[in-house]
Amino acid sequence: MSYDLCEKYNIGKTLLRQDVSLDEKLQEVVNILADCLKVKKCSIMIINHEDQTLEVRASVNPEIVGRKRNLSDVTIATRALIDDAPFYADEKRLEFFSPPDSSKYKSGNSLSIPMKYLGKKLGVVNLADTEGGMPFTKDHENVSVDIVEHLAPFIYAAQAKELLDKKVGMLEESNKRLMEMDDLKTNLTNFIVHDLKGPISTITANLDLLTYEPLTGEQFEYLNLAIEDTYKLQRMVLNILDLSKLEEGKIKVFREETNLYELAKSEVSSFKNSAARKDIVLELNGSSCMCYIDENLIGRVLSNLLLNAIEHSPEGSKITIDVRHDDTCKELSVSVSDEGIGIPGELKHKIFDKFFQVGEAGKQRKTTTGLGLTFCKLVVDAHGGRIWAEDSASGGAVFVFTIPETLKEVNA
Amino acid sequence: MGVPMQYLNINCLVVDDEASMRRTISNMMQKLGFKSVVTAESGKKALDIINSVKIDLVISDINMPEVSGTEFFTAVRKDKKYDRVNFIFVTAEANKSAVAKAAESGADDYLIKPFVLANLETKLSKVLAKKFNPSNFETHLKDFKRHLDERDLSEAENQLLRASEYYPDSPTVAYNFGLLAVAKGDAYTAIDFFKKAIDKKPMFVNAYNSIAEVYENLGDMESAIKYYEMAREISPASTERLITLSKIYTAKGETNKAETILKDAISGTREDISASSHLMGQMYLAKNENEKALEMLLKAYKKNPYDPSILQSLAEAYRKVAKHEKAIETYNEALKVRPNDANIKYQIGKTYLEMGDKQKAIEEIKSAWEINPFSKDITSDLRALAETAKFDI
Repeated sequence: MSYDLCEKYNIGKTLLRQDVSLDEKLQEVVNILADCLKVKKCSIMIINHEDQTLEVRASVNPEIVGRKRNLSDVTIATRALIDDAPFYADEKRLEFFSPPDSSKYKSGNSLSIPMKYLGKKLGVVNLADTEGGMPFTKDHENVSVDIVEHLAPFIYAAQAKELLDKKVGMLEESNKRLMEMDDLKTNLTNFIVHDLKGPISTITANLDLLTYEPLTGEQFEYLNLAIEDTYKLQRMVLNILDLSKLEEGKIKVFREETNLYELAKSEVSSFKNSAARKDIVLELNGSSCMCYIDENLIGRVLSNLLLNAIEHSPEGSKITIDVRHDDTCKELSVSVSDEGIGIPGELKHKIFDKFFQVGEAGKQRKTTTGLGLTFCKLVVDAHGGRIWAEDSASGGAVFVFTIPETLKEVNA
Repeated sequence: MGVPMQYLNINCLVVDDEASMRRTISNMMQKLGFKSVVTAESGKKALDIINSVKIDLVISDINMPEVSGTEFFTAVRKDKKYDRVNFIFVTAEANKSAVAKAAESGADDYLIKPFVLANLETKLSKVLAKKFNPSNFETHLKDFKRHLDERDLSEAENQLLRASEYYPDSPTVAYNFGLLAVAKGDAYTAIDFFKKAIDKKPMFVNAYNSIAEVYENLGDMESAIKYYEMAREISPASTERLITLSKIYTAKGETNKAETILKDAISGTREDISASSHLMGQMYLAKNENEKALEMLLKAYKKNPYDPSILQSLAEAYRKVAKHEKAIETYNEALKVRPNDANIKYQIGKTYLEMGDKQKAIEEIKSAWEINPFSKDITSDLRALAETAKFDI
């Protein structure tokens, strides 16, 4: 038996190569095995779990590569697998097996060695037709088992990788599908919400026209309730629509010379009724201050912050709005502080996330859609400013946003 | 109701394809006391009305099928006799690219849906106050612009000096001195004035744009890009600016950047067919897919036949497919809207060169040079021509 260190080294070297496929490695091993054991036939069969077969992946005879036997068939290879031990076959024993195994081997001698790694059955190495037709011996078995022990981990690893790749591929595929479905859903939502905008515009404008008519106190009360909630509906629709557009960068800031204080004043006055209903005082501090902002977007930031403050303020409390101009930082800041339950420290960042609401059971700070603050953050970011929440002296919440006064130099 | 009596006799036109909104706005106008309010359900009908009845003020929706509000606006504005018609646009989009463009080309104001009576009243009072009681300052500025357009530079300067007596610190005055310096061919003085305007008004988008144009003419592309990018930062929607920027990047070999700018712009103008076709045509031009470019630009042109920027792109496409006569015809259309545009004349000259008509080329490039003597390209082309044709410049 001429199996020596040199061959062992050759096999090891072949197996460790990274630039060849598993099948090429197996073919190399088959050739070395046949050579050193002096057998005419040698093949490696590997279990294919998908179709429950044993497949010839390498052989001295290239014609049979790719052939499959069912795992349930009675063959010498499956027998070795089932026995989980080397299986010697001679002419007599071969008769038990179905053709072609019963007629295939000239000398009638064969040896099958099962391959296993970490308790998992992997396949079989088949040897047949020794030189001179001599029966297989324990020597043959020892050499083969030794080589199979080297081989098994590589087959195991290759199969594991194949499986992993397939699973990853499937995940990617289903991920893609999910994303497509999500897009579809978003588009559908936007489509519906977009169509709501027209009617809401007309309703808002006409309800407003009614307020100029002589009305009884009762009629005026009904009308105001309708107006207030139409405003809410309007804000929700706009937030939903514009949030995704802002995220995709489809809404660009369109700066115009604007008096931020006057803008705040007009927003504050549009909330007079809803504040009065809860007996809340709105106090605006500051003075005229010119800046370059997207009036419509910042106006909506202010109105979202005011709505948020009113929702979270107890009856009879005060909301303070400060418009300040910081000459040293060259920025403008607006703060809206309420006397509500405040926001716990760790949540001060999270409240700007989509659909996030602050609160424990029973004490939930409710918001309309949970999108208002996210909208605010996106708009302020787009202006190059910052927005954050802090605690007020009274334990309530303060929302502050800043806007830089001048354009940052763009690097060409 | 706070609109002064004297304003209430004007003729107003409300344009909106949605019947309910059209009625609502017209009701609001009547509530404010306006006596004459007519309505139209499309840009096309509105054009018919403007051409048959005297209209002083238009309130128009932007997003309408067929002829959009902005397309209607350019169609009206190309006719000088409608100079005094005021335009207030109405849009449902928070994405104000269309409004921004209209504003840069001279619309008076805009309203974003949903809006209420008080919003409409504020805008109307502002626009009409300017119309009826222009201050001396505004009158002089207007006269300055008229003389500048007619290239009567000494009278223009005279008017501007008188305007500056009222508000010597006004950024608008500084900006207009810049424009005057450009017309006089004094590039660096112009830049100084534009920078002064920016000092006084840090987001003066036209001033950034004008500085960029001067640098572009001088051949200093790095500075041109810097200022165009700053203008884009303030007002990201101007199709013309984006196209100029993408052309400069293409010339510099930064085709990816150019393409990103155009793609970005296209995604923002999905509802504005003429703008998106224009941008797409420009993208094909950059890739030398000229037949496709021509197809797109013809589509843009059909929707918006008076936009000088579209006309110039279309002419460029005609040149690339060797339809030179068509190109010149198209450039001349653009000249009708911008009679003193040196670049259009220069491009006409270059088209004649491509046709082999050197004599006409020299004529056109020379008249471009007279308007803009500091442009590097125009000067060097003219010099080269002068050498071969043996004449002095």
